[in-house]
Amino acid sequence: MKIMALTAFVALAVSAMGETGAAERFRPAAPDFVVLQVPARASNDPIAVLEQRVALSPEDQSSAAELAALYVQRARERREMRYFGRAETLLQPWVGRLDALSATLRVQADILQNRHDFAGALVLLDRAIRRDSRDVSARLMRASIHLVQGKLSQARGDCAVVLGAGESAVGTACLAQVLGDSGQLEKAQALLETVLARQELRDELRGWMYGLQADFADRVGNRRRAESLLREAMKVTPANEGVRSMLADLLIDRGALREALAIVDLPAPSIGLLARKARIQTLSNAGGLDHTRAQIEGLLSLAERRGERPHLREEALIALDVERDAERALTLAKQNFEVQRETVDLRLLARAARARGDREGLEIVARWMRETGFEDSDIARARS
Amino acid sequence: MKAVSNIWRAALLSAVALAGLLVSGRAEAHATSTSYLTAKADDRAVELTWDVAVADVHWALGLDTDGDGRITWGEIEARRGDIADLAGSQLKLTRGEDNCQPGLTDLLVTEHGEEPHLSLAFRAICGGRDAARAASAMSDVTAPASSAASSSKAGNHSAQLALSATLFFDKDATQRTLIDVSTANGQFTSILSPYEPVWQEPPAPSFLSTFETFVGQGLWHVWIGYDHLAFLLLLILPGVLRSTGTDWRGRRDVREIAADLLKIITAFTLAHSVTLALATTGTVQIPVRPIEIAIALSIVIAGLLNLFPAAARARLALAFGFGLIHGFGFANALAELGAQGPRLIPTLAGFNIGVELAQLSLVALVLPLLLRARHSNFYAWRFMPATSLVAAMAGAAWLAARAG
Repeated sequence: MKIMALTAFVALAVSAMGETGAAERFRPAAPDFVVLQVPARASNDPIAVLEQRVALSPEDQSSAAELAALYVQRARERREMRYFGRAETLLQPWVGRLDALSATLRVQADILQNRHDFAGALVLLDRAIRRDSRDVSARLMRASIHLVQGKLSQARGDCAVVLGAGESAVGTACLAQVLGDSGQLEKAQALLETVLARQELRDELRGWMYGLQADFADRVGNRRRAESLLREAMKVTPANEGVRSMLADLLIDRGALREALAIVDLPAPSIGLLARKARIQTLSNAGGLDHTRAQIEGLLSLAERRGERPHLREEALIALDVERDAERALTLAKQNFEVQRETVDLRLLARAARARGDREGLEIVARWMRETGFEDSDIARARS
Repeated sequence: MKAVSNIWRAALLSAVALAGLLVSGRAEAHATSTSYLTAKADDRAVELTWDVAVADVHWALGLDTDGDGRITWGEIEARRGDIADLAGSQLKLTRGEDNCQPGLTDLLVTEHGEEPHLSLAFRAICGGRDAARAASAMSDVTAPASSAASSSKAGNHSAQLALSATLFFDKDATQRTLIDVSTANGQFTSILSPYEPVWQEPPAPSFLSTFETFVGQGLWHVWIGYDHLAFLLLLILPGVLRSTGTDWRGRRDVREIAADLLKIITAFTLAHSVTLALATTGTVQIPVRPIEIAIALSIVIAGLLNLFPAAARARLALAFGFGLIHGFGFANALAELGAQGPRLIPTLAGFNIGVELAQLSLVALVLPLLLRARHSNFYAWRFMPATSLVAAMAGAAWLAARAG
């Protein structure tokens, strides 16, 4: 009886953290209580101009496509998914229609690839390119998708056309990506340097190229340079979460946890940033891990409830680095690798396979690197 | 025109460029276009709370009246009528053939995923003269999200509820309304979208059908509940033995064995039935995590006690005490299946009977083997203690995982 009583006491004394419930509903006390801050609307806001035009002439496909493209750009700048939805609705009347303009097809493809419907995006891009083989934007987007999927020869063809069409900066960077992923890292780095030396690059393009160069530098083992490049990228594209995630990973690896935390600590962060944050908090035993896990769980539950595709990469990272569930991490990492094959995905699969002692996973990585010539000092070091 | 086409080209290139570094790093972070609707329907009315993102309402109505980049509570309250009209025009409810006209009763502020939302409270009274309008109002919206409606007499408030909440569906293809509905027939969750904008309450299952379903669920949950099975096995294993204080000996009398096991299993069953009922009815609520930890601990303790013949007299108390804990564990499983309202009795009774049947099946499976082995020293001094120790170690591993 004593044993039973003690056991029951111990068990019931362990109180769960409790799940975060819905926030309280309240009536602000003062009329000047700020509920939401919004960007001030510029009087010459191109979106406002186009919205008026589209409202007056909803059948004007060209204006609708331009507006949708601006919505997508704003979605990325402000990290607001709802703009993707607005763009998609705007172009709904032309879905599957033969008279859909190439501009419409490109934006629709961008919307699809953003939610990882790469197959759907490629169908639309193929159509746009069949219509105009020198459609630079479509070629570049298609090349990007092929690079993500590890289809380097297809990407190379599109990059060459972009370059041949006179878009030397973007085309060169595109080609550099292909070279970098197919065993010619040094050449890729040299090519990108020539482009980055140019003064007239827009911030978004410069940020993109800094990110590419950082990836190359990291893969040849020059992490200091990679960090420096990513910091430059963050200056020009502060909203780019891919850049922040990559920089955070480098900082975590060298133990600069406090700085890494500052990098990922954005308002309303994505699951990717939260995964890094949770990893930092796990490693540093800093407070706040339960809250971060609750945020992650909330976002994953919401995505599941909305019927969205799972965030395989992020869930694999969380399983591996926070939950320390190598088996689950490996399963997710393998599924993720079927969808996307960038440096982070390759390393994730390799790490999960090593943690689990899974030869098959390691062989998948090794085989892909052999077939493509992909180089990565990180993976090579772990294998030796 | 040239300025706009330059914008167009730049926008495309920048969009592609931003996508370029890890095109798979999809634009996420900020709120998805989600609103949250809860509805509680009783005999008289339907009370609703609809949480809508302030950013979405601002986009539709322009809440920042003074253009200073800050949407204040005063600015929101000044537009209360417009907000009510905007949301109310997109909220439709029917009960059978009765229309339920929603009226705004309150406007508050809340948060979902760190994004501010307006929380609109509505009250909808069903029935009255608008029954004829109800059918056409709902038929304007496309096919329902769940099973087909059943017709009912006008004014019958036990008729199935149907609702649609379509705010911003015409402007944002990714807009979703997550709904949680509570009616006399149970709790329901669903999602409305531009493609499936209507939710229809399913017909209530019969008493017998619910009972049968949950007998199956009870059986299933024990058979996949390795921790419950482990604990039960640890109770059964020494049942064919008698403690001399320092030693285990095989019991001779099968009736004595049966009586002992009957007492142990009955104590366990009584205890978990009590807490299962208390937890399922909401009388006692204990968070999941400590229960899972306690269940793992029960296995460790039961396994270790089997190593000490002197502890044999504690088996009955152990069975009862930890039965209470296991009952809370069953309740957690049952809660996930939904057991509310008028279905509570057949759900609880069916689930409980399913659990008992599963336990009896384990006894029926294991007992004949134990009866044959009980007189051998190998069983008393090797097999039973070793199995108990392995189970205890498994329990310890589960404890570490659940507490970690």
